[in-house]
Amino acid sequence: MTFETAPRFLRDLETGDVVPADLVYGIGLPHVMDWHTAWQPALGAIKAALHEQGVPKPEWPQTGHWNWAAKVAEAQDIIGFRMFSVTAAGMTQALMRVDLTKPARMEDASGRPLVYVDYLEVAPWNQSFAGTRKKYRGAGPILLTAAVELSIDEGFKGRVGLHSLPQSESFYEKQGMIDFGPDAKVQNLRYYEMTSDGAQALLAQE
Amino acid sequence: MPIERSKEWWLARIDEEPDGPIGAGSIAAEPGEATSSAAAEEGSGTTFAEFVHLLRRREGLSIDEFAEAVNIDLTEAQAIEEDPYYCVEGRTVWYIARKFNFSQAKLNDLAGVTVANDLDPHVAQQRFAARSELRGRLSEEELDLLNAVVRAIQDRADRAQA
Repeated sequence: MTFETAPRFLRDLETGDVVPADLVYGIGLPHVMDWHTAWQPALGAIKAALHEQGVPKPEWPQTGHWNWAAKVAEAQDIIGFRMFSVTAAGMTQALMRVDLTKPARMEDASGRPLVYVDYLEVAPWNQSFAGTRKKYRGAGPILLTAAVELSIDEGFKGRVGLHSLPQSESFYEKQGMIDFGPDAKVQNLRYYEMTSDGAQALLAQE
Repeated sequence: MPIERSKEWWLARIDEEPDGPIGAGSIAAEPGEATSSAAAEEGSGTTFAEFVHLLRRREGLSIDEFAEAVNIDLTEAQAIEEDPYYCVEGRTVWYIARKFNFSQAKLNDLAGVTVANDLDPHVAQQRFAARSELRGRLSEEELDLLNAVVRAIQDRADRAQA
């Protein structure tokens, strides 16, 4: 299966160069294979290094148990899911699955549909742990922007919701998302929502 | 419909990404994965990693002590409990079974648990993640889970011998 793509960019933090990337409107077998054959060993190496350095477990990668093969298989049977990948340098750099069936919580849009970011994960080498430097910067903003675009396309006016991993909260706050606080139903992860006004600001032309 | 923005616009956006990890989504076990209570009831769905973790803590051993007791490398003992994708070797299962006096039949069942662990490596990793360094006493729930697994292994061994 071939998916549509849109040109994007990542920043190589080793060289400072801008690297061409693609936003892929789907997750296919090559992306799942990248997750399995490249992401998992890289994650194992990171965990081994963190263990050796005595880094506390809460600071370790929190998504190592996510099984993207299962998530993709599940999404193929359910209409309300959409999936995205970011690729660059011949490798999958980030993955996202969103759910279109969840309601907004914001008071003036309560109960209305939004794009709920079910899962968003960037490749292990694009994450920074305990002082390590990430390889490419930018996959997160590319995927969040894709979620906002999808929300507008679906008539949801840019509304996006998600439960942030603890280490990512500052990013979502800087993107203008509203913090609804810890959600006891989702491991006390903080729930954030992008309003339609926030979406307009995010997509504003320079 | 993809939005049309200049390269400069995208560069400004991607450079907003902080140094830390970016991610979103539930970090709990996914739907269909065993819960603690279900595993306790069924004695199944418990991974080899969990089994070893509970066994070690029941014995009051640190990971180092456990590795030494069963004659495996520390790195392997850590991997068994912490790396959901680690493939346990039959030799290691045998060492553990010998140390804790499991019968040959139980050993076979342990190997079965190992296969399940390989097939479904993500099951409930976080149930014991961040606690594997502990050597403290098991909670009642954890003890129930361990006992349920041991009972299930014994039952299967008994049925196999019948």
